[in-house]
Parts: sequence; structure tokens; C-alpha cells
Amino acid sequence: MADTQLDMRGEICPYPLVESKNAVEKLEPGTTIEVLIDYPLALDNVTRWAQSAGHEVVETRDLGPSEWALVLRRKKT
Amino acid sequence: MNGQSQKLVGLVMAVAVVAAAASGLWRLNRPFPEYDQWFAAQVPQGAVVIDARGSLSYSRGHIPGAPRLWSRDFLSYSAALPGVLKTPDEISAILGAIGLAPGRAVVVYDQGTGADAPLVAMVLTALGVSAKVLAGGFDAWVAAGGVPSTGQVAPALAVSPGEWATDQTLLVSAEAIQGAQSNDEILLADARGGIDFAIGHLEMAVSVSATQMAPDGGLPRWSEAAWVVDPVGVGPETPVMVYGTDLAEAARTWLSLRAYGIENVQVFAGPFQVLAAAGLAMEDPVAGAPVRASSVCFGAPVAPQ
Amino acid sequence: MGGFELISGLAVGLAFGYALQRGRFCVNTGFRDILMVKDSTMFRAWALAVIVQMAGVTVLSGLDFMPITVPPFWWAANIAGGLMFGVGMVLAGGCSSGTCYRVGEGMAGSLLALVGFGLGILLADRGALQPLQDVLRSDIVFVGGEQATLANVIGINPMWVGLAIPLAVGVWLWRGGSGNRQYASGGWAWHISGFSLGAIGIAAWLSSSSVGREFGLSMTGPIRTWFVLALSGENYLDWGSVMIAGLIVGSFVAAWVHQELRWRVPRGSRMLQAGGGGIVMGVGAQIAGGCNIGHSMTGMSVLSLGSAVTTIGILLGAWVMAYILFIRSMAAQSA
Repeated sequence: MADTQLDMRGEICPYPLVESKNAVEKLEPGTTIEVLIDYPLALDNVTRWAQSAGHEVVETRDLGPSEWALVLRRKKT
Repeated sequence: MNGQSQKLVGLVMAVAVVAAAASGLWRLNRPFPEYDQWFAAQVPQGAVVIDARGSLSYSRGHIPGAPRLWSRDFLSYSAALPGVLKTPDEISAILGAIGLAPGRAVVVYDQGTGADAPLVAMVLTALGVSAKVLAGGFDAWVAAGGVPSTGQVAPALAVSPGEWATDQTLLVSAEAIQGAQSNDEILLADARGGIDFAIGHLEMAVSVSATQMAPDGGLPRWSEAAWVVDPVGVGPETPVMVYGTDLAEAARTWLSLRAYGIENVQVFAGPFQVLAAAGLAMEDPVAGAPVRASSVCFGAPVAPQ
Repeated sequence: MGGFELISGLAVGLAFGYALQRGRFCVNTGFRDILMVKDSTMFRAWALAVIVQMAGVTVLSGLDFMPITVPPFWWAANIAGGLMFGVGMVLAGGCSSGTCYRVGEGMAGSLLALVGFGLGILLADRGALQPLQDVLRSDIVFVGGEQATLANVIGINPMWVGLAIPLAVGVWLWRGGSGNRQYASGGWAWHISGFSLGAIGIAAWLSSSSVGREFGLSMTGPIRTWFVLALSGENYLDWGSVMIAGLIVGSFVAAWVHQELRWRVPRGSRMLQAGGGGIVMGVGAQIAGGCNIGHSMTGMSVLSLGSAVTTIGILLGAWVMAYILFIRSMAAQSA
């Protein structure tokens, strides 16, 4: 169970990415957040950003057609 | 849908794209269906070759053995009826003088832009002669390695005016054109396009411009001809009557239509101004101007040039 | 409309929409993310699509297999329209092709953006902003009597330029590597979508030219024909119009087949933002005479200087708007 949740379903580009980024950077290092995403490009973008920024992609859970729960853990630095 | 069906849909899309590209490429580059019947790719051995150009071009160099028969020599320029086709007797005298007897197949050429050869080919065809136009004209012949000669060509033998088919039906009178205006079956084609057509044309006429079919001059492209001819709704059997600014222009449209496979094409034997002066009904220029718009985004809809 | 015009327009449009959806292709994302998150993945897809189409069109037109039209260099309209389009697409959450294919996927925000796009086009083409369009387009710069291209402006044969640019950019893309080829959502990697879109662009040129519309893929003009038909009854539908309809259907098919079809509705303020952004996009695209497809892909493939300038304008407009809307607040966030 993630520590916090962010529901980005239905949002237009680039709000899933922008708000996920803000939310992750506000986390305590080492804690997790579950981002609900329903747009494929948003899933790609947020995942790719998280990886390049050094955060851990804990899991990508399928919630249904075109619906995912992306769990990220803020890096420790 | 499972992975295999997904791949199948993707494959169908790919095939559709390749098919669209390949057929587009073919349409852009294929010759007309009757092309070979009307255009000669090169001068066949033993053919009678006729140079349709004016004396200055001819004297600078012509295909060896080709007598000169200027397209304008077929037209009479009286004050009353300028640019009208001469009588059959006069024409057969002209042809006899260059030694052309009935029954010979002919290849006609001009510089390559279609200013003269189509008219000569059309008149010969009206008299029952099998005439082709040399594709690309003199310029193409030289580019393919032909060596021109200068000097006059004496006819092989003087021939008295032969028996030409004088009951020809290809060239028609103003009465026939007027009849076409009230006959729904016949397509009345104006060989002019763009501004010339827009500012005044015969009622019921549509623009079938040879210039639009061959925007670079010379030979029509299939894709351009399709864009001009297809929307008009003409099929291979549709009877068509053509008129133009002058007979040379009308002949260019005649040739393009015949090469495109449209068989039943007749031509008014004179210039447009004769029709206008004869009191034929004219279309209101503003209402009649055709607008073929393009969705190419950098323009608002534009009338065809 | 002839049979070939209809069928080829549909075929190319369906494939275009399908490829856009599978590749999640968006020039808005591509241009914006370079600055916002320093990610050039989508930008590479766009660059690859451009150079594939450029190489193909250069060869086909150079060998005289195909006629081309070069968008004119009406510099003021290119610059102003490009900037406006860039700003608008960031607000709308998608470029014009992105907006259209997202309609097929079920994004309500994009639907509103598309409506705005059409209205913006009409506003500039025949509405209150038409005088602005006319003024901005009044000066066209020609080079030696021809439309200005990247080739004739430096006096080089377009065959050379049209092959050298793909070569140079291709090397840059190659050296960058294809990155992680598995994207989280399972769509096409950038090199697949870039290549596919380039090939579709070539097919568009060929089939469209063969029915007298001597251009390739574009969005602005075709969308205009539908809106003009709907609002004034004038019928200017042509190959492009059919292609656009096919695009939305093709994207729908792609989403449906891959279970990515979903009705997605953002909060109200974002809906308004999308609609307003669409209008700004439409005005910009109409004034410039093209958008991220018409100029930044098709126009670039024939080396149009006007298209290159418009593309730079789009990039700058997008960066400015992305900075104002997102980057500034993100920087304040992490500070």
C-alpha cells in the first residue's frame, strides 16, 4: 500500500507528468506514492521521468483497460 | 483482442499504406490509355514525317526529309472569319503540294510544346489519315541524338489533290456547337481554362484545358488530366464538342482527350470569337466561373490557374 | 469525388491515425519535454519522421516521379502564426495531430480542443481576424521567382540538401541510440513510429498528388473544409478531408484493438483551457498556413523555408508557454 495517492485519471497532457513530478519531489525520501493514470502517453512520460531522475518504479499495476496504478518511491538524496 | 489479431490489424494498415503509395506512383506516371495510338515515342522507319512549325524554326534545323507544313497554313484569316479552317479543296491542295497522298501514315512534330503539331494531326485525322504526334517534338528528338538538317525538302513526287475523305465529321460548324448547348447528352468543352474561361465562355460549356493537363507544356500528365477530366464526368463514350481561343488550342484538348481514351470528340473549325460573334448564348461570367478549391492549408480556396 | 481519391485518402488517414495512436506521437510533448524534463524521446520520433519523408520526397520529386508544392515564405505569418500555434498547443494539451488522434481514443479535452481548433481557423480565415491574416501574409519572399527553400536560398540543388539533412540528422539519431525500447504502456518505440509516420507521409504525397492535390499530410486545411461545410454549406471536401476523417477512425481502431479506448474527462477548468488553447492553435495554424504536420512535417520534407521558420516559431511559442504554465511553478516547487 503506497503512502500517498494521486489521481491523474482524465487529465490532459502534461498535468499527469507535472503533478506527479511535484508530488514525488515533495515526498519524504524513501516513501512511496501511487499515481492513478489512464492515458498511455502519461504512463510512458511519468515512468521515463521517474527513471531518469533516479526514483524507483516500484510497480505498474493494471487496473483495467488503459488504467494503471504507478507506484513510485522517492529517491533517498 | 489477442496479440495475433492486433498484429493483423497493424499489418492491414501497413498494406493499405503501401498500396496507396504504389497506386499513387503508378497513377502519376502512367501514360494515357490510348497514348500509343496518338503519340509516337520516336520516328518509325519509313514513316512520312511532317514538320508543323513556322519557317524560321524550320530553317534553323529540322528532321531530315521532313517537309514543312505549318499549322497556320490550314487556317484562313479573312476579316470576317479569322482563323477559320480552310475548305477541304484548299486543304487537299496543300497536302498534295508537299507530296502527301492518301493512305500514308504520318508522324507530325513541332518544337515540343504542342503549339502546332496537334492541329496538323487533327486536320489529317479529319481527312482519314493516320497521324501521330511525336512525343516531345523536335527538342526531344535532338535530345535523343537526332542530327538536324537545314534546307528545303522537295516533295518526292508532285501529287495532284488526291481523293481525301471530304465527308468528315470531326470538324464541325457553329450550328453544331449551338446544338450542343441545348443537348444534354453532349459535353461542350472549352479548351481554355483559368481567367480566359472565367471572364466569358459559352453557356453550358465546361473547362477542359489542355494547358492544365500539361502544365509544363508538351505532354499531358495522367494525374493532371485526371484532375481536369474526371470531375467533368466524361466517359469513353461521351460525345464531346470542343472549342478554344483558336484551332491550335482546341486541337490540343482534342488530342489530350483522344489519348485519354475518349473516342467521340468533335472540334469547332474556328476560333472562339467567331462563336461569340455568331450570337451563341454566353454564360454569365461571374456565376459561371468554376472554383476548384484545395485544402492545401497555405491557401484559401483558389480558382484553377 | 473519385473512387481513388476516397479510398486512398481513407487508407492513408486510417494508417496515419493508427500509427499516431500506437506511437503516442505528439509534437507538443516532443517540443515541450526537451525543456521541461530534458527528455528528447518524442522529439526524436518527430525528427525521424521528418527526415524519412524528406529523403523519400526528395528522391521521388528529383527523379520527376511526383510533383510537389512548396509552402510560401510569408515570413510574418510564419513567425506570428508559429508562435501562436506553439502557445495554443501547450494550452490545449496536444498539437493538431495529437488532438485529432486523441479524439479517437476518447479524450474529452481533445474533443473540445478540436472544436476550438476549427473555430480558430475560421476566425482567421474568414472571420474577425481575417484582416490580421491578410496583413501578416502580405509579404512573401521568393528566391529567384520560386518559393523559398532551404536549398535555393543558399543556391544548392535541392537533391543535395534533401539528402544531406536526413543523413546528418540520421547520424545524430543513430548515435543517440534507441534507448529503452519497451515503453511502459506497450506502444511503439520512437524509431518505429518515426519511421512509420515518415513512410505514411510519402504515401500521402503520392496518392494525394495523383488526384491533383499536390501536397502531403496536413491538418489545418482538411479540418477547415469540414468546419466550412458544417457552418456555411460550401463543399470543398477533398483528399485531405477524407484523410482527416480516416485519422480519427484509425486512432479509434488502434485504441480499441489494444484496449486503450476510454472516455477521459478532465476537470472543468482544464476543459476550458483545452478549448481556449484549441482556438489559439487554430488562429496560429491558419495564419501560418500550416501546423505541426502541414509545416513541420510535410513542408519540411520539401525544404520550405516558410515551414522551417514556422516550426521554429512553434518551438519557441511552446517553450514560452510551457515555462509560464509549468516550468516556473515546478522550479518554485523544488526550490
